[in-house]
Amino acid sequence: MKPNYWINLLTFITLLTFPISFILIRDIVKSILISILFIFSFLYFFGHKIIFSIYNVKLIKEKEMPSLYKRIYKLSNIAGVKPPRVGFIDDDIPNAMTVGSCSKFITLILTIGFFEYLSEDEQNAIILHELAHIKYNDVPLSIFLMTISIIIYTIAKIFRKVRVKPFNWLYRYTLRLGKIFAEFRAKISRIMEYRADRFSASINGIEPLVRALVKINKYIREVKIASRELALATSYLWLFDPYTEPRSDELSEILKSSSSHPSIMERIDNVMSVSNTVGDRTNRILDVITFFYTEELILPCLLLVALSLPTSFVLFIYGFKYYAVPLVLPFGIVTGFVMYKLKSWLPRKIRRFCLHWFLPWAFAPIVLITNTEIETMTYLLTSILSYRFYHKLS
Amino acid sequence: MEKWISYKAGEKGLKSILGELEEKIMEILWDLGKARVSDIARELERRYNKKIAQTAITITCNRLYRKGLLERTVGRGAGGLFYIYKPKMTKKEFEKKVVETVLEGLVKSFGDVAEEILLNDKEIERILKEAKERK
Repeated sequence: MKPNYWINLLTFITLLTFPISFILIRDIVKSILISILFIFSFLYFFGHKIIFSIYNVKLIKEKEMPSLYKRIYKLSNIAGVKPPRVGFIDDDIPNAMTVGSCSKFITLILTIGFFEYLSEDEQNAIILHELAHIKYNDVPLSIFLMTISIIIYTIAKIFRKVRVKPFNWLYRYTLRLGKIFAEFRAKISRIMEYRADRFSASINGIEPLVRALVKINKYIREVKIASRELALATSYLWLFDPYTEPRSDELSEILKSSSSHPSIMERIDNVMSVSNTVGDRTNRILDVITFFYTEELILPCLLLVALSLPTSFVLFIYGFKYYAVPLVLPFGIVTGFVMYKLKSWLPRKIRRFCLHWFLPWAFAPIVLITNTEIETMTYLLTSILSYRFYHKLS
Repeated sequence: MEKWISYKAGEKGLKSILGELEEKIMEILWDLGKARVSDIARELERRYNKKIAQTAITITCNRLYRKGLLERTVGRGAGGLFYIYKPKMTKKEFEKKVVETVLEGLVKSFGDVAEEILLNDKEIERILKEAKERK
């Protein structure tokens, strides 16, 4: 399916969620927040499917290529991550990418060129680079940043379409904001790439990685691929950014900054000079950011927030607004206990359905119902504590 | 004109159309029918006693694929995935296509003069005779 179809679908969802939430709560900030959560949830759970559709990814089953999976298992074990699924793209450009935010959907996508053009040692270096993205939870953060880009893009697109004077002014400022955000995104992306390179070099050695980077760069320089909007937005997920076509539309600069990926020399320099300092200051900053995107916190949080909704709603109706804070905490613990008890009762299929289909939308009502941000934060905190309690019981 | 044809009048045979490595790879593929990059590398070494890097062969095969001269399918092996290349046309068909395209190009560029020569049997005979003598 064409990338533009997906960007239009996402734009449509954004356009739909924003007015609905605005009519319901009459608060522009909260409406934007809900739109972000909707798109984020959509991309969090279906992002990999979009990538599969754009690039026509074919999944490889373990039975089909046991030797490849054996290698992936070995490297995942060394990297300390859960082995991902493997998919391939029928393309001769040597490239790799990791998609999927939930551990079940995480997929390592490799091109045929990756196998054809790189030696086994070089392939391992690149696979380790991708596994580092899984280890440091880079994909959900990338998706979150992508969500904000898409929302700014949608708003700018609307302002551009409405050709009335104040909208021209708004369009200019949204565009500027979008470009600033794209630069910020590029910075985060660079840190992620550097960190993943250093991780790979620390395990597999510097030489194979540098060799692979040089080889891929040489190849990619020869090939130019037509740029499409969502392809631009997803270019951050690639090992190398193959979208080298100059962009004619200034709007697409919101989706991708000109410097999304560091140059090959910068990357080699990074690997050579600081290969022994994994965990420096920039890494620690990113670690703090990515901590909030770990799956083990997000999914149960959503579930517990969903379960605590009825109580919070009752408390809200009876006017316990701020007194609700101490009351929610024990409720969370009780919920955790109930969850633990229900674990053996609820079939796995239903639990999975709840986790993967129902929960992403749970965030929106909590923002709708709660009157203050403090309360929302309290529910989240309660959920985390409940989750910890639930896990301790388990 | 076909995108893969860039005719060099000074060169002989397939070299007038393709690059050196391209020509060697095409020859091998016409002989073998279909092959993967490692097979082509082995065959190149055997035929020309010269070791060519697999990366260079990979790039050339992809170039030939983009030019529309090769077809490819995905194969699976112990080392991973790979392409199996196959010529899109036989050598005879290829040569015929080259002649047709070059003549078409000449007619397009030098309409009247080219037509005059091509429709004149005596002129054609003279050109063929001269070409054979120079060979």
